[in-house]
Amino acid sequence: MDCEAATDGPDSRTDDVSDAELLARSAGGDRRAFDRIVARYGPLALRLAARIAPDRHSAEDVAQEALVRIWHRAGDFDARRARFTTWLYRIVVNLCIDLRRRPRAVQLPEHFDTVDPATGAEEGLEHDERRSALAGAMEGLTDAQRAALALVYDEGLSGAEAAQVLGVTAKAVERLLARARAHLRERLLVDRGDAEAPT
Amino acid sequence: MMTLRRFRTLADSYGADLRRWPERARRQALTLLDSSAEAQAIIGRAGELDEAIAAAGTARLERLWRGESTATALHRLHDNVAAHIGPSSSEAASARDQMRPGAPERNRSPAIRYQPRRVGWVGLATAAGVAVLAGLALGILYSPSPPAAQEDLTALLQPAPLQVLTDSQ
Repeated sequence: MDCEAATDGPDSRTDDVSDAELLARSAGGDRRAFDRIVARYGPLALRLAARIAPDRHSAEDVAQEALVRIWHRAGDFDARRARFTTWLYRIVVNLCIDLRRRPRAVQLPEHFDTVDPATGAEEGLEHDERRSALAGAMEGLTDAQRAALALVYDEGLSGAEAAQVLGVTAKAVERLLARARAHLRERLLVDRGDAEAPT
Repeated sequence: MMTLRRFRTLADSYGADLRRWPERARRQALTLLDSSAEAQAIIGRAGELDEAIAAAGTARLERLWRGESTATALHRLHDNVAAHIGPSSSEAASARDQMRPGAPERNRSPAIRYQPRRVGWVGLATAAGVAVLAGLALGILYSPSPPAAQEDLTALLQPAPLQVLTDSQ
């Protein structure tokens, strides 16, 4: 799935009704207004959840739960205090972190036992191992580190904005990012002999 | 003036793309980059790690979404959210308004007018009442002239004797 290609919703560029107005209508029980919120921000919720959650099902569960919570608490939103996206980011991140605390059945990834017919078995295996090693490096991060990376590197938030979402200081975000990069440097650049160098 | 140490600390956190750096540090970072080979080396190494992190992130997403498309996942999300939040309360309120006595019939939607359980009970009760009344009427019409003593309400409610039995007596 090309999550990077996902926009903030098909209507986000042509729909001139503000988030605050749609949420106010949603708080009054207007399902159509909330449908537009889902269309605008469903891709964002799913994209961020996929960056942090351990698997696809968890990511989908988190995105769904985040939007359902917003529906139930739409009346709590105050546009003077925060942007809607900050609120949504925060709910998604917190749900992803909570997810780890709950016991879950281990799920094998889909198609785990299928072979890609487009490549030779050996080439496919090497390719899979390489991709698996890359992906595995991300799994070694904590949820908070992955969330900080996703917010700053992928979503383009500043350190201060990410701090607001994570409920920590900007300095704490810097530390999360630095530790994440140090871990990934060890895992990703070790074969190239430059893992010892800083940054 | 930004120190090299501070420059390295920020690069360790935010990487080589200065747009991610805190806004107030960017100008000083650019100044240092212009004059320091060490700062340029730090940014060079940070850029390599940025590329590796981006590749790792992409690999992780590919593994996560293997065989899935954006549109499918988003449709599923939309449907699941809709299923969880239930019908619109404004629609429910509208339905309640439509059910008010005196609400104009032309404005009632078919979904609101269709009340299978209520209509069923009312229909059954009406049919039963009609059947009882019809039975009574038939009994009165086809029964022989009752004795005067039986011409009361109690007698009317008794089953009418069959004509064939009456004739044979």
